[in-house]
Amino acid sequence: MIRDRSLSSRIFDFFLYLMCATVLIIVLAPVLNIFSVSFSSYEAFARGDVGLWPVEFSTRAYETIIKDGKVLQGLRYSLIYTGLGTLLNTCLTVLTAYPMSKKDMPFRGIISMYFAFTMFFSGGMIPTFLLVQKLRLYDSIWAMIVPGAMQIYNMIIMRTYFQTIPRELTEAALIDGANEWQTLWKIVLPLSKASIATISLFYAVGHWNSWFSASIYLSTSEKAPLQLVLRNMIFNTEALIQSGEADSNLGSTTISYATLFISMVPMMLVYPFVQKYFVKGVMIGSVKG
Amino acid sequence: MAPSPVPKGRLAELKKSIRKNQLLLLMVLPGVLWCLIFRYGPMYGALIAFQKYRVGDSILNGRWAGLYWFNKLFSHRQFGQLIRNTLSISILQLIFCFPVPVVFALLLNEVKYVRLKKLVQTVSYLPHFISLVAVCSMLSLLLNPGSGIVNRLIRACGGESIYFMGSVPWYRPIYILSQIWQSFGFSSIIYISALTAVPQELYESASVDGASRFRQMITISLPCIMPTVIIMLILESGKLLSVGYEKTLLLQNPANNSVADIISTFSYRVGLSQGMYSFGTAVDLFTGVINCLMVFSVNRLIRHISDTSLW
Repeated sequence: MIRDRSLSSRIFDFFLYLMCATVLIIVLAPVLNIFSVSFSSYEAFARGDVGLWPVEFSTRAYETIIKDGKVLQGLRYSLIYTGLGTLLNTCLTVLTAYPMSKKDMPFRGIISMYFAFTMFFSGGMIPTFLLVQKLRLYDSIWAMIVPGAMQIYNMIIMRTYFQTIPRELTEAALIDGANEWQTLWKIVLPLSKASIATISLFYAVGHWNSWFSASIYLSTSEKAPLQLVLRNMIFNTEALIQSGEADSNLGSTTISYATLFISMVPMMLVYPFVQKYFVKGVMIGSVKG
Repeated sequence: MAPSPVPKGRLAELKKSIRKNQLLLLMVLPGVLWCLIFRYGPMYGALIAFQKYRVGDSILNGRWAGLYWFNKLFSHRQFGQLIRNTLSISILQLIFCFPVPVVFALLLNEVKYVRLKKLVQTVSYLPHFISLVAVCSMLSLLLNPGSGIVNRLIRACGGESIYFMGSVPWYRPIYILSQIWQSFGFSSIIYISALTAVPQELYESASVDGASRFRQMITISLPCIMPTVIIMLILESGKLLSVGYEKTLLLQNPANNSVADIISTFSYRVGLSQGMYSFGTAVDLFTGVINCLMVFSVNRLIRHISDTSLW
């Protein structure tokens, strides 16, 4: 590449750096403020001293959260839903995508259309809700896991990936006397670790961040995942403001900041490490999408 | 193995193929059954949109009501407002949220310092991994009229506190700006990778011809990713009536309801909160059918465009 050192090029570079700085600030500043308030003393927050760094470092908000237990319980249930849900999602997706990637699988075209149609049209929220009730899943932890056991879109991404595995590899195994199950388990899965990790990550993010199904399928508030606990907390604060009792309780506001920060941390820590995989996943999806 | 023209032969062949691939069919079975119950089941359940359904009724011998609920929706006094609010949000999204990732990708592509480029890119994905609840909670806390940092800054500059979350004129800007914040980085992935496919020789010969880097960006990079941009634009415009209810439910409150309420939150409210299951389902079905039609016509359009763009 020829390096351009002219004045206009330097001005252009300056604007590019300015853009980079702006993006960094706009994305990080709100997150930093949440972090700082949650680790600042209540008095410093009440004075309005806290900006982008903790003032009078304190973990009181977090101690209150641990003593109260509600947020911890939400955290526990979030982990259960995310763990179980992602496991079921990944198994079902791989199990469905593998046969669908086989050219000579009988009824492949029909089954393919059968799955694809549901991406364009759905029965909607209320019939699904009534179905969950009828199946006696209402208020059980399975209501959080089974109705969304597979995303057709992710299954298609997985299938597309399986199709890129050279046929010779699987056919050689079949000729050597392995059945399809053994081929999937011994040949295909070890070759697809990265894609399976990507798909699992997509599912895990979805479970961790989900709140709506919890809000309609669960009536026991003890089973609420962290996101729903957080949402109810914020709703109460907003209701207080609207009824004119604003800021009578700043202490509980710092607890909201801490809860919010806890809810963001796991995904923020994980995503940079799996970045290259999800970028690939988006690409495969967009080619087929 | 000559393919037999007799149907009976084909049937035998199919039988043979099924026997040979029975393990594959067995593998796909759980997925097919799950899809039947949880995806096709609700479609059957959506028939209650044409009934006067009450809890405990069975659909087969339910009390049919024809298009009663659809008429009720179209003549509802809020119908106009709901359509207007839904379209406003999706059109504003199209105008303001759509171009940001394109511009971001173009500019980032010009950053020659690789580490900075990587850093900015990684940071820009961050908001995508933050949940909607967290983003809306963040808005509520940072924009809080008393303790939020935004209003503290406004007061420090001599202004007066604004109660953003309960304000009608601020609702849409907040919705759109937070949408941009959450999605621009992740949406840019597709453009950034389209840009890596642009042949370097184009830039080299342009700079030999004396084109500035800004000019190169406009005359080389932009046209090269234009097909991707157009396809994404068409896909987006297919979603015109399908504004997600989750974000609206999180931002909606009595004070801003007149601009916040959209078709899908209306369906949620009458259907699940007020228990008018049939009415809520009818509202959902109405938007579902329109969305489906939009997506299919948009698909045709894309096929048409990408065919012609080959020439």
